[in-house]
Amino acid sequence: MAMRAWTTPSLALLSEGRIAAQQTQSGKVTPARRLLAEALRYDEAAQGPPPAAAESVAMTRARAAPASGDKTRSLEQKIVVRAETLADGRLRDEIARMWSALRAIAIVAVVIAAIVGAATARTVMAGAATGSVDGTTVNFYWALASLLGLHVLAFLVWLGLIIAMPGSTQGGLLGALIFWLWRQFAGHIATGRERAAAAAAMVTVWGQGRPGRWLISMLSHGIWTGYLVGALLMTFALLSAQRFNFVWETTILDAGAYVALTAALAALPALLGLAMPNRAAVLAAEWPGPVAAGNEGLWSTLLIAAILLYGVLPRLLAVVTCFVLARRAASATPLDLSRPGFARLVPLLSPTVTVTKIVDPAASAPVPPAAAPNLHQPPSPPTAGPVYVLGWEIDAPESGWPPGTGAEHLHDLGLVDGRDDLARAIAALRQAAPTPARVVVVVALPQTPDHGTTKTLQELREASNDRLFILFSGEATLRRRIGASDAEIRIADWVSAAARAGILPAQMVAIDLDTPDAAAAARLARLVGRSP
Amino acid sequence: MNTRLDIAVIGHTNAGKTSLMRTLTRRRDFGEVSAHPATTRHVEMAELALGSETVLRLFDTPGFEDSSGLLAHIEALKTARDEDWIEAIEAFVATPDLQAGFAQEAKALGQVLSSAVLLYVIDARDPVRAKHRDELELLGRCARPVLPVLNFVAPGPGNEVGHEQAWRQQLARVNMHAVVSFDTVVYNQADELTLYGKIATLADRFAPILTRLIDELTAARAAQRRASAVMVAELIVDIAAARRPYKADDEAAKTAAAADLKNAIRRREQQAVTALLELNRFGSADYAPPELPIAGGAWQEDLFDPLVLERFGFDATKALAAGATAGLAIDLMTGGLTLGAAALTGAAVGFAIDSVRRYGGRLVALATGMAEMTVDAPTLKLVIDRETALVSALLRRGHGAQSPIATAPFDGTALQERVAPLTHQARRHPNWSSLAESPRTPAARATLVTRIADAVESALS
Repeated sequence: MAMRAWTTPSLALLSEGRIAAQQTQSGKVTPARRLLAEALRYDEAAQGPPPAAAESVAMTRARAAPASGDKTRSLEQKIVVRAETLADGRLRDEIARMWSALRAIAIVAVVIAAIVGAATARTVMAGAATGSVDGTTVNFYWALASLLGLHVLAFLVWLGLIIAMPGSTQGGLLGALIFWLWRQFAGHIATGRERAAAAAAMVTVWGQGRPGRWLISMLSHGIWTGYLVGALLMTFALLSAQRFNFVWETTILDAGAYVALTAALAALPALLGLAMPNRAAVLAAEWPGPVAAGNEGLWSTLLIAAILLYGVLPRLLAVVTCFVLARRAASATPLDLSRPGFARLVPLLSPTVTVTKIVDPAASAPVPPAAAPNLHQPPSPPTAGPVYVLGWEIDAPESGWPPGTGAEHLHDLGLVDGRDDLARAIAALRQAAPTPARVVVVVALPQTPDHGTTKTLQELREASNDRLFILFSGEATLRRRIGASDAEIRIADWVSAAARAGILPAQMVAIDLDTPDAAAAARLARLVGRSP
Repeated sequence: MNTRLDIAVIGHTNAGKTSLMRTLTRRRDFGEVSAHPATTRHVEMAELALGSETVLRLFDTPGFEDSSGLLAHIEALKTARDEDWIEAIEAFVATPDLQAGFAQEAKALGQVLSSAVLLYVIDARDPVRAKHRDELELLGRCARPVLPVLNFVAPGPGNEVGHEQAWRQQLARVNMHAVVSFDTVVYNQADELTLYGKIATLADRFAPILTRLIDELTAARAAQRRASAVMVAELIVDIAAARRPYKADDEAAKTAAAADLKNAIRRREQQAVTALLELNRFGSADYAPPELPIAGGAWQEDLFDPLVLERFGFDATKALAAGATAGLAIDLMTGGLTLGAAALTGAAVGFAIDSVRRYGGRLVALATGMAEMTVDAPTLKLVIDRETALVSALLRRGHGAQSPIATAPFDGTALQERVAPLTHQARRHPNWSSLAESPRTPAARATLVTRIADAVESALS
């Protein structure tokens, strides 16, 4: 009967894995759902992330999970929903199998404990432990101490540990032994990937921290309950089938001590209305001496009541308490989202871009840029006449402004920026007399050519009667800024922009005015018609 | 009440609008970025959600191409139609016939008109030009709060000078006093939070959601740091604890064991690098082979190459895998210490069982001619240093960055001092390594990972 009472709550706890298998809807995050998420995490750590398609479906479902509570809670919920979507039947089966294994080991241990308890009771009642007394005369207190002493001591140690070290995960040696046995078992059978993941997840969720402490405590108390129930049943059987004389003996104590001890032990059973040995009965049972017959029934009741009330009942109470505390602790222990397998998911599930879409599509495809001509070829020299130079949207280069100082007939139109400046420059070009033999427009390659640039170049080209040369400066800065391959793209964009403005490839030249080398200086000299 | 904030990201062509979008959304794959002008030719939206509620919508727009021309065009429209500025802009956006070659700008202005706040992206490497002034004038006519965002403010090659001050002066001149510096390549969370904070002051009815967003971003950032540190710590424990047994007098077996261990460690490190990239929402595409210590997501340099060790400042002469004898000596030394500590805490019995199993087993193994290969200290130190350096680099990298990841010089002296004693503990537990045949994860391992992660996290800049 007591055995059943022990197994019922723990079976409920131990079969939670199976309940979880049927529970895939979002809602409160239970320890069982966390267990599945942990198992999947270990599984993914072993075999890598799931296929992209499955992952995407699971993430969509996870993101759609209703947010409940604070941020951490809702994140945890999303991760659990993702796990429930991704976990296959095998993983769930393995979790259930792990619980079965733990349950089986626990039951076997309890049964063994019951047998040990029964054997102990038999030995004790056979009088072997009492030493001086024959086969049917039993030293009552010695027998009681033999049956309950170790249990009481262990219980007090456990209680002391729980109270003195509230943060410890110590939960009792026997429970730890069961858990250790289970881990050995799991370790040996855990050959499959899913099984190893399930075992590791069990340890993480139930085997450590506060849940682990209470679960292991519960296993300890369960084994003690088995032991005590075994002892109780055997004692009851022996008392039913054999006749015993209960006595006590002492060398140094007086009878008063035994009277007081008996009264203390009898207090609780007496409250329940059981007939207990009184002072006269105690005094009459001293050994050796004329032991009065007729009190065996009272002593038997006291023995049974003591095992039940000071043994079975407290342990049973402890089992139930630890069961409740283990569940509560597991419910209150969230997934550790800093574990790498989960941490990976956090940025994917928390406030992030959920949708990106094109809301106003482009009307036409971009124009591919023309292939760049050789910009480092010496330009043709200008025909006789004035050469005008202007800078468009640039700062003065490091070599100074204007470039090509010293050339004959060089006219500086300055650094031009904006429509007003441009209008003035164009007017100057149109009014120039004699008409310019060449107009050199300096632009900076690090700048991005845009439609405005193209329009400007076109207007300048028209104003120069197609005698416009474009000088690309700042190539070194460009290369350092955006790298060689992107620099080529930018140069090609400039060439395209110039070509769209009607400037011929032969009228394009690259001269880095910031750091001109000898070749660049020679190109510049030819460009402005200066004798080298 | 409508609490969803629509923000238009606008600016001159190629100023880095899409890069800003990428960095703000942590999506490397958002839109298209290139050196070409006008790469973005459509309006593209990204939604930012808090929980399941969309609180922010960011719109990436085509850049302004001919701003001066556009301003003149709209001004002419305004005069011709005898309207005020905003009416003229609305007519321009609504009527394709009035757009005269400014279709791209019309898309951008259309988005401007339907957004509550504008982020005006500026390439601070460029000086303030007339076209920019014209853009600012036009934006000033749009009757929307504008927050200028100075991009590319971090000094770099080809950007030694920068024009941030000139830009700030110019912006102040047109009454834009709230300005943020936000480099889309070199990420700085403080700047991102400032950006949202200033948006909140410009459009205060959205302040509550922006406050929530800022809290959320701060928490996410802390979680990301922590998770990265834990990943590095897990890697350190796995590598430090890894062992491979071999027959001591069999040279071939020794070579095979060493090769096996090296391969296992390389794979494990590669796994960690991939996971770190993924966690920080980067990918192997962020790597271009030539300039990198990592290629295609892999450390290009061989971990066991003495030159690599030298580069990180370790003694190359010791770069040989330590044999079993040295390992045992360390074990007995530190094991003795542990025994003392264990006896004090009253757990001596448990420890004795443990140590008999562990040391007894190893002694038996030695007596029967078996030895074990473990990773040597310099290699372990190298892993600690370069993974921490990688995490630092990832945390400072904006998602708009195009160039490959380069790990900055990293001084790991203080970190090594903290982590080295912790790795000894890992070394004593072979089955703490995920590379072991039957790995175990007891609570003590979790505690060790936590302590190493603490050290790594404190070393992150």
